[in-house]
Amino acid sequence: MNARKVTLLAVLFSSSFLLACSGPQVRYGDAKGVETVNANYGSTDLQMIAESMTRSLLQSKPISASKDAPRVTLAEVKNKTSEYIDTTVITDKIRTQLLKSGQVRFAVSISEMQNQVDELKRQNQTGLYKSSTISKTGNMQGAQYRIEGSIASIVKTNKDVKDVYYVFNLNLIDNESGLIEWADEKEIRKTATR
Amino acid sequence: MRLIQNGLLLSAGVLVALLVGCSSAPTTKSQLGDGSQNGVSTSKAKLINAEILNEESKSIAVTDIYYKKEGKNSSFVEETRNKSESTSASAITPQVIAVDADKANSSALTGGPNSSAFPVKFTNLADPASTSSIAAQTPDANLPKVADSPVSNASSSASSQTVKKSGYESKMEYGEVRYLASPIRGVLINSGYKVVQAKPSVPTQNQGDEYFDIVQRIKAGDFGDANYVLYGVLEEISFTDNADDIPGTKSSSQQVALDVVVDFNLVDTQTTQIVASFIASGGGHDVRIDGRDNNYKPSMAKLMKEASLSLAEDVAKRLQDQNFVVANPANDKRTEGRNYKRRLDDDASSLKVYGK
Amino acid sequence: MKKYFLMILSTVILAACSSTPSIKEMTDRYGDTDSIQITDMRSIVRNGVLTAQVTIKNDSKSNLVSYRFRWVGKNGMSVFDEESWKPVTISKGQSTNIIGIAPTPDATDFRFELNQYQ
Repeated sequence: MNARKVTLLAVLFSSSFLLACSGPQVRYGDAKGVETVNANYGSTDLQMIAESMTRSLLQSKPISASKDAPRVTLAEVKNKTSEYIDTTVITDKIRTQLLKSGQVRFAVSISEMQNQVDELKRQNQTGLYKSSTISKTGNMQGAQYRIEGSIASIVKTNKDVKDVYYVFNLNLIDNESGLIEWADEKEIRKTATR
Repeated sequence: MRLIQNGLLLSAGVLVALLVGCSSAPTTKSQLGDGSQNGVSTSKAKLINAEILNEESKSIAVTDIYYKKEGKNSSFVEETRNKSESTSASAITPQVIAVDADKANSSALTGGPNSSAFPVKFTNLADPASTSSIAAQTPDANLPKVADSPVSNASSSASSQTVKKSGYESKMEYGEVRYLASPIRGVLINSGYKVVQAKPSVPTQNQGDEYFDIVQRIKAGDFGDANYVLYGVLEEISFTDNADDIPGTKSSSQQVALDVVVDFNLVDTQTTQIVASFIASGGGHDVRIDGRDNNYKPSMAKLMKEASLSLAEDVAKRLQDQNFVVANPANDKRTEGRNYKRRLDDDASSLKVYGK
Repeated sequence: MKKYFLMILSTVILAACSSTPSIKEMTDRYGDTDSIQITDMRSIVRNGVLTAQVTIKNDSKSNLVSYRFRWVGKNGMSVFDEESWKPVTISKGQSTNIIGIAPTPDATDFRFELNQYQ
């Protein structure tokens, strides 16, 4: 009888603990997993776009056919959708993956120039640094190409379904000649049924 | 039975050998990029000494770069004659309409936008025989001053007459600039020429354009036994100072440049034939972030040095086209800073595969 | 006697097939992806970069599957981070081409991974 009581109590206690712990929990998910919370722009879209653009760029003529690594810089990616999308995250991802491949050299973009200018000013113009150890003003390497693009969306909703279609366009433009050397696009469709 | 067994063993051995041979991963045929981090071939520069320059090397003389500076000032003479019964006095007041200094000087050789290093002396146009300089040593007067006429007579009948004569006075200066030619001599020495000292050419009084006559100087023996003479005339030297915004930042950049353009001729001394003729230019640059805001004063010495070095580079390129100068790979800056593609550097001998 | 012949035959077959791995060896399946058949798999180096093409066919109703490639260099060491899972929508009976391009020219081999999502 006692043993039974003990086991019953143990079961009661453990079940109450389990119930208490079944509230909000935090777990780490898979950063690369497919995310389907709603039909808005999400992490899987960002990853798919960046990856397909990077791989296509690696196979393009300016990068694969040149003996030296070409110098590229990032220009603006316009957000033509009605959502808030941070397009610099997409271009930063593309830049990171291209740099890791070792096939491209990147120059600082316009939005990063302030830090560059401040550092050059600090080294060259304060007079505090040994002149054989400074990075001299006037020796920056310019970019031969720039990457720019746009993302647009078409959203259609009716009573049952919300369908979102994204198209992401990216161009590689030669800075000197103004010619578009490579262009690619990625289309994504997401459907949410209520 | 024995034979069959041996045959089987042999064939098994052959097949094992085949397996081992085929188990190596197929190598990708296209290996793009040479994977070398440092593919610059550092060819040793030719070390030129006086001993290496043998008897057969051609000798060349390089004159210091000539220049001619012209200045023009407009001036006029005002003569006021006051006549009265008793006295007649005339006061001649020479005036110089001070033209802006950068208009008066067609070029300022020592640099600087408004250099007054070239003073234009006024000579008395009213009296050409007079050599005494009148009190017009005020070239920086901005307004034509009307001097007080010292005469005023109290008399019943007086008449005064004013005569004004105006014209231009131009002045020319000839000379040699020393610093621009030295790196050019260095380039020629590196290409194996014997460089002969050229006698400096001193301009005389009332010198005209015959200052540039090179044939006369060759005949006069100014260049020793040189086979060739390279001489240049400085056409223009300009100092520019521009500032512009840097996009994406709150700063501006001030760019200061000293540009020099020289007209060169290479003359064969025996035949006095021009073997090469070209225009070369060089420039020294200095850039300063926020220079305009902080009143940056550029260093003229540094700009002059860079201008002469880049002029020598340009001259070397032009002479290469005419096969006078050998391209020296040590001077070729184009191989510096190449952007190589990077490949993974796996050390295959350090591979360890662990068992289950 | 027959045993020895079988031995020879099997070694011959093994020798012939050891140069290219089978589709099964190149695929890793996670989750429930039994309805998806891989009908063709090939790879080539295009413009200096390894490009793989996989044709998958959907046999039954469930049509939500995600895939990714894993790129391997010489010596079997991986040359890049894990990719993200990419969802594919295939109707019943449809077959579709999936093309994967390597992230760097150092990749010499790949593995194809299939997973279900939701």
